[in-house]
Amino acid sequence: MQTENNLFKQIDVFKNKLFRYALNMLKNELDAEDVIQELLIRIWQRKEQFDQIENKEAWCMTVTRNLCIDKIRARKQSSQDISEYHFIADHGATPDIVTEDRENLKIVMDVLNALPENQKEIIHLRDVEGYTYKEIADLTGLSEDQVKVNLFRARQRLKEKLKNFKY
Amino acid sequence: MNNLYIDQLLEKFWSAETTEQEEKELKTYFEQADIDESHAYASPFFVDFVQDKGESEDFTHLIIQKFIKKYFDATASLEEEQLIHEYFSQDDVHENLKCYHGLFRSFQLMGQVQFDKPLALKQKPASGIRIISLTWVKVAAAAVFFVVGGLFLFKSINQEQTAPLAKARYIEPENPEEALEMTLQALAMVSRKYKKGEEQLLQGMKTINNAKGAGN
Repeated sequence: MQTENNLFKQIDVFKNKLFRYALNMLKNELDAEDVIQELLIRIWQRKEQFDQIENKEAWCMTVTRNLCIDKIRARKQSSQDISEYHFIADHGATPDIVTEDRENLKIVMDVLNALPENQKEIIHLRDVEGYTYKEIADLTGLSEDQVKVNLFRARQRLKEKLKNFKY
Repeated sequence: MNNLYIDQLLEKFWSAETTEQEEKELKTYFEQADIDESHAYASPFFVDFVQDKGESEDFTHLIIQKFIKKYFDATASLEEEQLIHEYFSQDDVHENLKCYHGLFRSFQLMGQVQFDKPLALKQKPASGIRIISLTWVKVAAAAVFFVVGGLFLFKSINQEQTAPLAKARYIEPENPEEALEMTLQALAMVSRKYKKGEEQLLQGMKTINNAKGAGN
């Protein structure tokens, strides 16, 4: 009989990826936490089959994505500014660097948030999580060529805005 | 060394695929005064390398510069992109690449976000009971609404259709005599119906009494 601890230990290694993915899509910490909780329920309900899943990370990412889409459709309240997250102050840098990081992150997030949702999602999966084109294509339901085209457009947009960076 | 060979070496060098021996050949080539005009652009890197920096200088920033161009064209491999990210994770970035530092540093920060809550169910769902998603509840509610609404609509249309008929059977008396006549007719009809009902009742009671007698 699978215990709750043993079951969820299997996703411990990629739980941060799942949370960041939800956070990137929902732009709200509480909503992202809700999605992770909902994911745990789904896993618990399928605890017998979960062991059989070969690529658990891919499965969990897909479920997380679907749950986020449901949540976006259902909700009406405004989203949170992701650049205000507490983690910026937690990485042990000097106050100057923290300020610089905050300013740069704000610029990047502003550019990313102005992108179409699929481009923003692809940038996150590639540049933050380091997924291959195939993995991104499988997750988003796009072809690999579509993934590359969207990535190209998103990066060109970022390049245009780079002149605003402080250095 | 012919130009074609140098072109090939440079191409390998920009892609970070040159061997130590090939890099030495490039340095030797650029140390001489008589280099081909088409290679002049690369000369400062190799001259600086030889004259100012010595043998330990690395050309990482040039390689990264090359990779960054490929990155923005979305043609860089995942490995090349990982090298870019690793390069920008350090604080000491080459002057020519500082304009990209903010972007890659931001990606790095985004990747540091962690889920610090325990991986545990807040409320364990009862086994065997499926949680019905809100979407399906909404679909069911919509279906009930349409069925009930449809019935009301059907009923009201029926009423509208029968109303003119009822109105057509209503006759307005033109004078008191006619009204009296109509009232008497109506009473007579009620009386007939009542009598008929009474006869049926008496007949029924008679049958019951007969049955009782037969039973005793």
